[in-house]
Parts: sequence; structure tokens; C-alpha cells
Amino acid sequence: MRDSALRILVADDDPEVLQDVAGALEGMGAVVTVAASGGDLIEALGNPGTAFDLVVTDVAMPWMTGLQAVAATRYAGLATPVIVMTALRDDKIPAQVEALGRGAVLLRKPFGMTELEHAVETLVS
Amino acid sequence: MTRPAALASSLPEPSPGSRRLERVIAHVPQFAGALSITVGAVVLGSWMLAHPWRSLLGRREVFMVGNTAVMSILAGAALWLSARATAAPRARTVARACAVAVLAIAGITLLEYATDWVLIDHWLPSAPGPWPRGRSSPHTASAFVLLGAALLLIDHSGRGRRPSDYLALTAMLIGTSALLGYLFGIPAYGALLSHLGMSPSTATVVLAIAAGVLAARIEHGVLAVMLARNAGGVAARRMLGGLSVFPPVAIALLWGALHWYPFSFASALVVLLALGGASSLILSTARRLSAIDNEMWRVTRALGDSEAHVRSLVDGASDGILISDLDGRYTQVNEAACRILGYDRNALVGKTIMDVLAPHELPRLAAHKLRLLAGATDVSEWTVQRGDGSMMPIEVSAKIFADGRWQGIIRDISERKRVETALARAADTERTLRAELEALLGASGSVSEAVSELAHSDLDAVLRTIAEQARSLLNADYAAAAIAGEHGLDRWAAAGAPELRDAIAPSPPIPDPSRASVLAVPLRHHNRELGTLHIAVRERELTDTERRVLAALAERVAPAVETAVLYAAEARLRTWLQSLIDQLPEGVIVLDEHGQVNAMNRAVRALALGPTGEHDPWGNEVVFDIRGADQRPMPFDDLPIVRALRDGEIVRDREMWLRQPDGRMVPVSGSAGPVRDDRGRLTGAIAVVSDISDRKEMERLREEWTAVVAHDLRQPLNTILLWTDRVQALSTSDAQRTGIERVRRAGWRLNHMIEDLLDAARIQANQLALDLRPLDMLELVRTAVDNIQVAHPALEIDIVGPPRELAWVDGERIQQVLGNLLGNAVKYGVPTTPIRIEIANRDSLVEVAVCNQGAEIPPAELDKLFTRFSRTTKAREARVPGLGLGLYICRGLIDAHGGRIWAESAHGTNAFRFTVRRPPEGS
Repeated sequence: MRDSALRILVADDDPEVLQDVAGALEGMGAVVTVAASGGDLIEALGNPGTAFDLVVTDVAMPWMTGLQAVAATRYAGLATPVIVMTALRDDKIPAQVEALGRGAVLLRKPFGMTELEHAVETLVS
Repeated sequence: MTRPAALASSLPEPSPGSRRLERVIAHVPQFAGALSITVGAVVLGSWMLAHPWRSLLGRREVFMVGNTAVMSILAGAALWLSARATAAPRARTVARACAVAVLAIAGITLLEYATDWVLIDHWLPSAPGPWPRGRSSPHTASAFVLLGAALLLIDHSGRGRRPSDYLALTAMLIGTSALLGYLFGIPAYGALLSHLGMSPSTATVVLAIAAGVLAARIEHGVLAVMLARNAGGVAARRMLGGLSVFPPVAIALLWGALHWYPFSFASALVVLLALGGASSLILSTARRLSAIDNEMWRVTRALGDSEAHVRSLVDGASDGILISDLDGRYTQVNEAACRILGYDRNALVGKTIMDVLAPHELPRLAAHKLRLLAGATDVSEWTVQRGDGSMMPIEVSAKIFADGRWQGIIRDISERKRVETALARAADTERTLRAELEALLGASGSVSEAVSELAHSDLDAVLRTIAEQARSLLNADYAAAAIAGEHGLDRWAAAGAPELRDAIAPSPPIPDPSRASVLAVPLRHHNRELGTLHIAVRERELTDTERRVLAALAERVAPAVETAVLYAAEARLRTWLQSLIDQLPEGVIVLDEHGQVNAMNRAVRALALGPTGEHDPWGNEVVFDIRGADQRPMPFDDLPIVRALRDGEIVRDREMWLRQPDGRMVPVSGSAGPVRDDRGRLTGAIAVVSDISDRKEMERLREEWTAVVAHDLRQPLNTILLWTDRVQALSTSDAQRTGIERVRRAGWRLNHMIEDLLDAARIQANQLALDLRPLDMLELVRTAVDNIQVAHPALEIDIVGPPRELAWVDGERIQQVLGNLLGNAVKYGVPTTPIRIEIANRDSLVEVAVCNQGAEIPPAELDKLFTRFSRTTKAREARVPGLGLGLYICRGLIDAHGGRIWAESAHGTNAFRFTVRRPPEGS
């Protein structure tokens, strides 16, 4: 494991899921920042005062999906690894996640701690 | 003068022997003429030229006075010139002149003896000796008188006798007696007076000329009798032939008596010979005549038989035969004549033609009588009034016999007359009918034309044409054609004076029926009454011919009316069908057997792109932009209606897209099927196109709703699963851990159910999307095995199959299928028995089988396994958990891959097999 705690930005429009995921990650020892929408996610990532090791975002969020937000930051030059969570079974999502490159994995909801830890380890190790 | 031909034919024909004799005799006159001329000329020349031969003249045997020599020359010339009956007229005249000269010299000589006048004795040079200088002897003069007359009358004959024959024969007698006188030394024979006689040379000339006269006309007189083939001829030839032997023999015997034996002996011998010869001649002649007589009897009897036969023929003849006497009274009639004329035989005999002819025929009679009298046979037709007063036409063939009787052959020609009359009437009728037929053909031709133009006209036009044709054909004042409908005559068309319509129509009543003659005939086709054809004429009656023509016209135009009615009905039906299909919410396209568009309704036209100017292979203008489910242009051969018409295939609910002019895509469901006639022949195809935008929208909404529901279900499930993991980690007692573990498993099972329901919904909605790639099937199988072994570490799984067996699949979905099948194998297999997975290469397919030991599945249930919510009886009884969607989803997934999935169960082994395709070339 790393010396310092992982700084993880979690985005989900469902406050309960946001809390659950944030709690689970904190339980894994990470420092978690939360965002309630795609806009918040971009804002948090774009804040020069902060840096994140990992982004965990839901897809379906109002105004801007998590994928759009991540795509926008990638366009802006940020390559923070990202776990894309979704409860949707849209056939296009896996391809879109794949399009984000190696630093992106898809994590289908619902998932347990095992799946979450496996996803984090895949990206951060 | 020639004999009548009839008489010649009645004479017996000469025999071949007598023919030869005739040829010899034919030369006799010329020979005799030449002999006389020669002898006369030699004697006369010797006299006149005092030739030394003159001394010869002194001899008694050759002495001939000058006048005799001249008569010899003249008689010889007359004979020479008239030797042939066909001699030229001039030769005949000269011959007659010579004959007259001979007659004159001989006559004058006789006169000189009677009167002692000397008239012509000295006109020739005198002879030496005591003889008067030129006078012929009385014998000679007599003989030449006879010969001269004979020569003059040489061509005269009457009733088979000929005067010249008798004259010549008499002259011959004189000549013969002179010769006999010399022979027997009896001067009285040689010369009537003591000092004057006929010299042998003169006697020879006389005999020669007499023979020549007889021979000159053998067909007449004595020689004709001798040469005839009849009994007389035979007797004459035999007797004379026999007799001709007798005189030389007698002469020889008698002459012998002068020198060698007494005269009495010779006389007795001559008498004996004469008796014997005459007897044998008479006997042989009599035998020959008997034979001829017998033959004549036989012929006569045969003739009698033949006559009886002819009589029976005459009586039995079907033609009447009448023979009348010179006055025209019938003397003989046969039975047919009695029958034809209607009299019995007794009544008919004695009547004349005047009594049996019809009175009006009498004036014609004279002309025919004249023709008959001229020798012609008259054949003509007459009307007779029979015995019972009835008239009968007969044909008469009449002629007059040579004997002046009349003969008539009559024949009953009433049957022939009847036939002739019938024929004439038939010819008339045929002419009339032909004219009618031509008019009819013209009229019905016009009607046919009207029918053929039906597309541009209508039933009323056809009826109007029929009415006009009927009117002009019959020269009627008014004509109308009407079609029968449900409520009487419901369609009318009329031509001509409109006011006469009232004369035809049943209502209103006829205003003045007396002034119009009306005729109506039914228009009938195949015994079905279609309507009526009427005509009306003013102020005259319709004739039978007009009635017949109208009936014929009605008969001929009825098929046209039927066609027009059917056409109208068909047009009505077509319009009705068109409006019906136009009102259908679905689009309908109908093609004929050649692929031509027959009908297309409003609904389908609304989906059309509009004219494009392009044509499909069947020649129809392309008006649709048809896309497949993937929205790419659909090949022509793939179109449902093409498959229906070309292959007879039925295509159901094929989802397609129609691009609209504005670029919008309209989802449609297309179905098509072939149209067949009663006998199953393909006659076209029909396609039904439904706009499924609404359904699509519904499906989209349902999908969305399903997705939202699934999404919203997963969010709390996510919370449950995350927290059970965290709580489990914090659990302190086993009881807590077991409880939490059960919650966790329930959560995951719930998740599986949600996934299965969602997949089943997608499969049902045909909305599965696959991410197809070439993947190694062995790898996929291993991953699936690894996954299941996470939950069931003790599970024994054998994998059989070649490595790098690439398949064209969505890896995640195939994992899902394999997981499902392996899960079933675990759930339903006999525990602790191994599961076997086989991968096999099946040509273009890759086959995978998951086999396990387990309870045998009844064959009836094998196929049901793949239906929704289906579970085997055993599974339900064993309360194995599950919704019954697993195999349904497997089949949906494998179908979406273009593969097949099925189950086999035998000998305690259950196998679930599926096939998928290999990657396409170049992928």
C-alpha cells in the first residue's frame, strides 16, 4: 500500500449512494471528497488547490453525466484514473468507458466491498 | 343413186369367199371394155390400112365387119367409162353418148335388114370378098342393140331388179348360141340368116361386154343375188357353179360323138350325167339350205324370246312407255304409263296426247310436233291431267319411228319439281339470310367495339350502341336496350323518336298503341335473362324477317352485354375494394403475377418517398426507400413482397424502416404472402405494411421504464451489499457473520433476478445489442469455469476441445450463457459427478456442450426448457431456486448471435449444446 492515504473524489447524485461509497472508501483508508453532480466533479477536479489519486463517479446524473464530466477533464489534460459506477445497463456505456483509456474501469451497481476494492487496486497499484 | 342405209343394213353380209369373188369381178368391166376396144381397133385398123393381117379377116373365125368393130370400140369405151358407179359426171356423159351411138348403129342396121334400105353400110372401107361392106349380121346388131340399151340403163334399178342385167343376159344368150353354132357346126346358131352370122370374135366381144355390164354393178341385180349370203345367194352360187361344169362336159361328150362313138351313146351319157349331177347338186344345195333354214329358225326363236324379254322390261320399267299409231292414238302402254297418267290400260289405249295433257299445255303442242316430224327426239316437260283430275308434272321423251308410229317415254317428275322448288326457295332464303347475317355482323361488330372500349365508356354506352344498331338494322323508329336489375329494368338506353318510348315502357301506358308496332326480345346468355331489346315502328307491321333479325341481334349482342355487365360489376367491386383497402389503417400493396403493382392504398402511399424516376427489376417505379432493421438500404431480393412472389414465401412482421422525404425514418412492420388462385397457381403477392412508430415508442418507453426501475432497484441493493460486506468485517460472533452472509447472498440473488428480468425484457423486445468480436472459445470457457469455481471450489469440470477455436461472439454474453449452463449443471446434476464441457468444430460453426450426470429430462420437456418461466417438474418439486428465465435468456442470447441452442437427455447424461458462428473473413 501507499505511504499516504489515497485522495479519492466520489461523485453521485444519490446522496445515500454517495455516502455509502464514500464511507466504504474511507473504510479502506482513503481521504474522500464528494461531489453531487457532474458539474461539482469538474469543479473539484479543476480546483488547483487539490489533487486526486482516483475519481469514482456515477454515470446517470442530472445536467451532466459522470462520463461527460470525466471526458471533459480528460480533454482538459487531467488523466486521473476513474472508476465509472453505474446501475444502468446501457449497451453503449462499456464502450464509452473503454474510450477513456487504460485509467478507467467500469463497476456495475450493485457491488460489494470485494468488487470495490478490486477496482481500486486495479487502478491505483 | 344410192340405196337407203336402212335397206343396206337389212341385207345379209357377203361371205369372205364372195368377197374375194367380188374383188375379181370388180376388174371384169374394165377388162371387158379393154378387150372390146382392142379387138374392135385391131379389126378396124386392119380394114382401113389394108394390113396384111386383113387376110386373116377372111377366116370365118375372126371375121368382123367394120360397123361391128366400131360398135365394139364404142361399147367397150362405154363400159370402160361406166365401170365404176362413182365415175365422174363427164365420163358418165361420154359413156352414155357411146351407148346411144352403139344403140343407133345397131338399130339402124336392124332397120336396114327390115326395109332393105342401105343407110350406113358403105361409110366404112369395103371388105374383100362377098360380104356386104360394113353391115353387121342381124345377130350382131340385135346383140349390140341389147348391149347399147344395157349400157345406157346401166345405173337404173328398181325394187332389186335391173333392166340392164336382163338386156345383157339376153345379149349373152345370143353370143353363146353363136359360139355353140360354130362349135357344133350348126350355122343356124351362128347365123340367123344363111349367109350372115356372128363371127366368133364378135361373139367373144358380145359376151365380154355383157359380162362387164353384169359385173359393173354387183350390188344390184343378178350378181347381187348370186353374191348374197342368204339362201337365194347360196342356192344360186351352188347351182350355177355346178351347172357351169355340165355344158363343157356335155359339149365334150357330144363333140366326141362326131368322131369316136355313136351320138346315141353320147346323148344317153349326157342325160345320165345331167341327172346324176343335177340330183347331187340339188341334194347338197338342199342340205345347205336346210342348215340355213335351221339357223334362221333358231335366230327367229331367239328374237321372239328377246322380244318377250323386252316386253317384260317395258312393262316393268319405272318410266311410262306409250306407243301410238299414225293418228296418235295409244296402242301400247306399259304399267308405269298407266300409273303415272292415272288410267287403267284399257282406258288409256285409244286416247291421244290431247286427252291427257293439261288444258293450258295444248298451245305448246304444235311446235313440239313439228320438231318431232323433223326427225329429232324431243325431250320436254309437261303437265298432265291424270285420270282422277289431278295435275302432275312429267318429262316426255318422244320420237317418231320409221314406220310412222309415235313413241313417248314419260317420267313422273313431281318429286324432282318439288326438290327444285325447295332448292330455289333455299337459295332465296340463303341469299336473304346472308344479307341479314352481314347486317348483323356489322351491328354486333359495333357492339363488340363498344365493349372493347369499355375502359373509356360505360354500360350505358354499350346499351346505347346496341339500341342504335338495332334501330338502324331494322330501320325502326325507336329502339331501346335495357338491363334487368333487382327492381325490374333498371338501366336503359334508347335511340330514335323519344315519344315512342312510351310505346315500349310498361309505364306510363301506351298513348296510341294503334299507331306503333312494338317488338321486344330477351337478351339472354347461357339461359340467363340479362334484359330486353325493344324496337317500335310507326304505322306499319313488323315482318317475320325483322323479328328474326332482332332475335338474332339480341342473341349476338347478349355476350357483349354480359361482358359489359360483368365489367361494370367488376369495376364496381374494384372501386369498392380500393376504397376498402384505402380505409385500412395498414398499408397494402398488391402485385400481379409479373410483379406489376396492381393496387396500393392510401396508407402505404402516405409512407412513400414520392417519384424517384428509378425502376425496380419488375419495372415498377421505386417510390419507397426501404431500410433494414439496421437502417441500411435493403437489397431488392430481401424485400418481403419479392420473397413472397418469387419464392412463394410467407414473411411475417419483418421490422423495417422507411425513409421519408424529410430524412425521417419511420419504423414499419412488413408482412407479405403469395396470392394463389383456386388451383393453387401463384397469381400475385400482397404486402401489408404497418407503421409501428407508436409501438416502437411504447417499446422505447417500456425499455426506459425497465431501465429506470432496474436502476432504481440496484441503488438500494448497492447500499445493502456494500454495508453487508462492511458489517460482516466488523462482526464479532459466528452467528452474526452467518446472518450477514445470508443477507449478502440474498442481495446477490436479488441482483441476478433483476438482471434476468431485464435481459428477458430486452430479448422479448428484440433489443439485445451485441459487441461481436473474434474470441477464443476455450478461453471463454476457462473464464466461466474459473468464475463458477469461486463459488464451488470442489466442482470437477473437464474441458475437451482444441485451443484457438475462434468464435464471433460478445464475450460477456457468452460468459453469461456458459455461467447459466454451468449453474444449471451444478443445480440439477448428480453431486460429486464431474461436469464435462466439449468444444467442437462444426464447419462454419463452433459447438459447445455442457454435459452433466442427472435425472433424465422427458423428451416432451426438452424444448419447453427454453421458454419463459419454464422449469422442469423435477426442479419445481425439488424447490430449486430460480425464476425459470435462465435458459430463455440463453436462447435469446444465442439466437441473437445467429446460433442455436438445444438440450439432449439420454442414459443419465444431460447435455446442453449451442452453436455460434466463426468470425467473418477479414475480421
